[in-house]
Amino acid sequence: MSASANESGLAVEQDVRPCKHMEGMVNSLADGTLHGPARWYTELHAMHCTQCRAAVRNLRTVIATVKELGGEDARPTAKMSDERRADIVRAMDEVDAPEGKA
Amino acid sequence: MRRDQAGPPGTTTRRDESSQARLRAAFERLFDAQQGALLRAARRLCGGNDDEAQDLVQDAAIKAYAAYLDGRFEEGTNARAWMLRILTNGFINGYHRKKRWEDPADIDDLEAEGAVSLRAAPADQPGSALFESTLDEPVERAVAALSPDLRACIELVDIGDMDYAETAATLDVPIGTVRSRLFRARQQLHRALTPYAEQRGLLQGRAG
Repeated sequence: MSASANESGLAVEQDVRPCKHMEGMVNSLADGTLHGPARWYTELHAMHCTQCRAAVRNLRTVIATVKELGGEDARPTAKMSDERRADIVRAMDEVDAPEGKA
Repeated sequence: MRRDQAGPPGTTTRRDESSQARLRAAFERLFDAQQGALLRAARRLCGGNDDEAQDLVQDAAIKAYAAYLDGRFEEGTNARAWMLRILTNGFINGYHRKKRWEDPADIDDLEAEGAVSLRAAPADQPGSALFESTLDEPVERAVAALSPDLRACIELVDIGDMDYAETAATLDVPIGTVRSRLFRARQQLHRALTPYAEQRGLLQGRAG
């Protein structure tokens, strides 16, 4: 992860819990899967509730930070060992030539 | 649509050798392009254990190849998401199988009876040198420290960009379970990352 990504991604605030009855909607608002009246209601609630507002911000920060692990520019250095690659090739050979056909 | 009119899934009964070789080469290109991302995902899922992670990727590669020959991958769709789904499904099935196998005995009772510890060796625990050497980012280590069910949800939705419905189908749980697991996972990640942000002076002000 780059230094700038660290700065934007890990600037998390201290632990804040949303109102108990809003947990599901706050979570969905944060990841963009909340729509229609539920979204409108949650946004309105968060405007007046400092806990829920902070929780949405925290969740968005966590989501954005974690998402970077799957980005195209995520460190591509992980490689299968030669031994495992050879095992995969052997298993693919078996799929190509099932028992009795080899 | 199947790629040919061959017999049982994954077999090559009537496929000619050149088309077989073409399919295999195409799959190998697909897998090579994704293997780094898959291995990293597998390491997170396996809590940093590289050996288990390589096993998981190996199994996923073979299942994916059989599915590919069977025409269950649509060209032009997201290959990473497809393989990640197979990988995570393999992980979660393996985890539940292992849990069923291990559950009948109470580990504390067994340990009380004998001097040998049945718990994971310190080197297998998150936070050990092994864990640190395969997962080199605090964020990655925080994901790997979640429980397996929460880890799988984060891997599919937040890292793999899969929607809730696909995730629920992959993990064979209701959508509501995916939602609640994601909330718990994100809360735990937030708590785990706060000290790191604090250490680096990245912490913003309190709620307001």
